Amino acid sequence: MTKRPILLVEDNPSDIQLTQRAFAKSNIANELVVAEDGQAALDYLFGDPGRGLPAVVLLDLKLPRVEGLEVLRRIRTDQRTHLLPVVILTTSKEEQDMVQSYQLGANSYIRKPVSFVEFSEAVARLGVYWLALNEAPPVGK
Amino acid sequence: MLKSLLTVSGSAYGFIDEMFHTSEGKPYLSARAITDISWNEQTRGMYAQFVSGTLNFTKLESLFGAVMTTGKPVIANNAPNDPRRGGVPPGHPALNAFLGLPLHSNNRFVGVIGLANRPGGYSEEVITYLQPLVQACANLLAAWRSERQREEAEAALASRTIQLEAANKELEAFAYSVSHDLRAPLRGIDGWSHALVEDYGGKLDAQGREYLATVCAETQRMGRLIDDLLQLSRVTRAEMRREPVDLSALAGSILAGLRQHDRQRQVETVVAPGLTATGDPQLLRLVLENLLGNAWKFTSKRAQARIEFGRLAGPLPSAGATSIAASGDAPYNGTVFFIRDNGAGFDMAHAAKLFGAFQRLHRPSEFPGTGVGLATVQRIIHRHGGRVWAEAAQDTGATFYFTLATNESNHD
Repeated sequence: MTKRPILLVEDNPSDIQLTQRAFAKSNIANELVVAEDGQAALDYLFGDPGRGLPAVVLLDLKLPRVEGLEVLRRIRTDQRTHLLPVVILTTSKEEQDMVQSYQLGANSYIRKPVSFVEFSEAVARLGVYWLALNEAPPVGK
Repeated sequence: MLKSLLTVSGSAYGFIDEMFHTSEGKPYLSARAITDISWNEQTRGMYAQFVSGTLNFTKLESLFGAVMTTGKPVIANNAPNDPRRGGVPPGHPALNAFLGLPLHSNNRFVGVIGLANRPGGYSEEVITYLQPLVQACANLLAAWRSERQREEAEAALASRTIQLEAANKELEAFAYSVSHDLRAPLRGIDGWSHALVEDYGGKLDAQGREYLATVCAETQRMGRLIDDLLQLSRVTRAEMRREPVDLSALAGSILAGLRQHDRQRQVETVVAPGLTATGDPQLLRLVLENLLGNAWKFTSKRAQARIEFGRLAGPLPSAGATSIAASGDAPYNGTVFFIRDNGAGFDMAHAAKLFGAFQRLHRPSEFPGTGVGLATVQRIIHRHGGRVWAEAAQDTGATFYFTLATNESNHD
C-alpha cells in the first residue's frame, strides 16, 4: 500500500469533514491533503517540484477560482502529472459533467451519494482500489 | 409596371396599391407604386412615406374606397362632381377623370390600381384593353405577397426557435445547479446525523435516536425527489434518437432485474413476443421501467401477482380510455401497448391526477414513491407523439395503455 498522500480538492467544509471522517472510518492511514479550490490544488501539485505527487486526486467539479474540469485539463497537459490518477468525486451526474470529465482523461467518476453510509462505503472502496489494488503509473514517465 | 399602365392607358398619374384589412376587418390600401407627384411640402412627405413602405389609404368614402368596398371597377369621368369622391389633399393636381380597377388573383382581392386624367376620360373599352396588364399586375402582387408571408413565417419561426433554445439553455443551467447545489446540503444533514449517533449515541435515549433516524430517512427521500425531478427534466431536455427498439426484450430484462432484487416474491410475468417500436431506446426503457416497476410495486401485497405486457388486438378500448386520453380523438389505427397488473389499482375518480408530477393516489405508508414516474412516462410518450392512459379499479388492478406515433412509420 502506497504511503503517498491523497489530494482532496473540495470547497464545502462540511463535505471535507465528512470525507475525512469516512477515510478515518475505513482505516486509511494516508495523509489527506485538502485543497479548497482549483488554484490551491494546482499550487500544491506544481508549486514544489521536490514534494512528489499524491497517490490519487479526488476532484470536485464545482470549485471557486479554477473549476474542477480546468484543474483536470492542466493535470493532463503537464508532463509531470499527465498520468496522475484523478477521480472525479462530485454531487452531480449530469451527462455533460460525466462526458467532459472522461473526455479530459478522468480515471473514474463517482457521484457522492446523499447517504453517509453509502458515501463511507464508496470512500472505503476508493481507498482500497487506488491505494492498494491499483498499480500507480511509474513516476516521472 | 405602373409606368406601362400609365403609358398604355394615356393617364397622367396613378398608383398600384396592395389591399389589407385592419384588425376590425376594415379594408385599407398600402401603396406599392405611385407616381411621384410631389408638388408641395405635404405631398413630398407622402412620397417619402411611400418610399418607406408606410403610405396607407384608409378612406372608404372615396373613389378608390368605392373599388375596395365593391370589388368592381370604378369609372369617374367627372371626378370633381362625382358623389363617391372623397376629395384630394390641398395642392394635389386636379383630379378630372379617375379609373379604379380591382386586382384579383386566384379569386382573392389583393389590391387596387388607380389611374387619373386620361384625356377624354375612361371607358369599358379602356378596361378591356388594360385587362392583360392588370392581370399581370395582380399576379405579381399576389406572388410578392405570398413570398413576403413566407418570409414573415420563416422569421417568426426563427425567432421562436431562438426563444426556445434560450429557454432550454436556462432549464439546462437550472437543472445543473439543482443537481450540484441542492444535493450537497442533504449529504451534510445525513452525514452529521450519523456522526451524532456514532459519537453521542450514548447520550441519546431510544426516542432521540429514532428522531435522528427519521431525519436521515427524510433526507434520503428528499434526495430521491431531487433525482426524480432531474430525470423528469432530463426527459424533456434530452435529444431524441429514433431507431427500432425491441420492447419485448426490454420488458423481459427489466422484469428479470425486478425479480433479482426481490427474490422472495412470486410474480407471474407474461411478455408478448415480437413487440417492437421506433423511438429513443433510453427513453422507452424509462417508460417500461416506470410502468413495470409500478406494476411490481402495486402487486406487492398479492399472493398470486400477475404482470402482463402486450399489445391490443382490435380497436381501442373506449370507455374509460377517452376520459383521460392525453390528446386527440381521431381514430387511431396503430399499435396500442398495454401493461396490466392485478395489484392495488386505484379509483378511476382520481384518474385525472394520475400523470401529474408529485401526484400520488396511495399513502406512502402503503406504497412508497415520489409521484414522478408517471409524469416522466407521459412526457416521454408525448415526445414520441403518442398517448398514454389507464383503466383501473380499486383493489383489482390497473392497465396502462400507450401508443407511439412513430410506431408504424418514421416521420423524420
